[in-house]
Amino acid sequence: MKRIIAAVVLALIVAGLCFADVVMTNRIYNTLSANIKECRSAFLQKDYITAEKKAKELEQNWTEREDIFSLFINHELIDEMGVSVAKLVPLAKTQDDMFLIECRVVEMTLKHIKNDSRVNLHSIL
Amino acid sequence: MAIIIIRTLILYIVVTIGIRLMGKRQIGDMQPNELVVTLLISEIAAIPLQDTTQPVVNGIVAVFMLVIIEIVMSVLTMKFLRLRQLLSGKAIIIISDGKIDQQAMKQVRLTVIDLIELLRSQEIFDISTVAYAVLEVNGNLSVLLKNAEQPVTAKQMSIKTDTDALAMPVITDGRIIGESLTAVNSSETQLKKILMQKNILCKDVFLMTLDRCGNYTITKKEKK
Repeated sequence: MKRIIAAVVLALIVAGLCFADVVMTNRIYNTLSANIKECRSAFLQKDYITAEKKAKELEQNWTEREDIFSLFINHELIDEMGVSVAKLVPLAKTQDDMFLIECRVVEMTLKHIKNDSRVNLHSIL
Repeated sequence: MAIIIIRTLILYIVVTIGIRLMGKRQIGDMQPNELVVTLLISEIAAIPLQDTTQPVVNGIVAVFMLVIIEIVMSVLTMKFLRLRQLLSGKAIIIISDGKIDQQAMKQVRLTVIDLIELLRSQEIFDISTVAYAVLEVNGNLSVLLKNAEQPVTAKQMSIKTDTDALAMPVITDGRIIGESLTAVNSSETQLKKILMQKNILCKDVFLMTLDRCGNYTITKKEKK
């Protein structure tokens, strides 16, 4: 009986961790995804000041959420994201077109992180 | 480096809890599925230790899942004999009524040399003394000797014996083990009385065993 109770407790812990993983990942993805869209949109409209401001916001949001992400996601991916996000502010300041490329990199990395934590055939196999 | 130290500690605790929850078995007595789980747990726990880019939580969740599966399977195999047979196999009678079942040996891919080795490990050097031999699912061979070859018992000789009593360690390394005292229906007072009679202090005792009949053995600590 004790072992069954222990198995139930462990199952609850595992379920809790999985739920937290999905919820946190989705939440962070939604926030950062919205941020990056605003960045790209501002830059495309040649509103470089807003683009820089949004990039700073994105960097701040990323810094705040990075630790939570690192609980569930491979740290190499997190490091890659960090590097890409860090490039955005200087690129926006210098009005460099590389800004758009880096925005795309950030977007794709976020998508990759989100898809990796989803239960589908691709992730399982 | 510090990360690896902390991760090792965390995973050590997690794996210990996992193995502890799975129950006590010696490696040689494990069922096949238990052996699989034990091997998997050790492999999985090593991944976050070697690769610090992997989150520790991944390793912890994987270990816990294996423990959950193992506990659920052990409960199910207790209730459903067919499932147990499917997972663990069945014991096979290799020697029956003194005759070797060669078909059974082929079935379990047991050679004659293997059989003789297994018998020797049971201190049986003459196969003709064996009435029955059963190959268990964990690979051990259980042997029943022929009646004429079995050692004589006190009952057969009509010899009176003392009451069966299990000797429990009641003092180890100078410390009294309360649970063992209760198991042998004794108390600290009685224990201290025995030690006083022997002129020994509790802290000087390396090992003391006691059984329900009051029989005891005392081993004193060696003086440095």
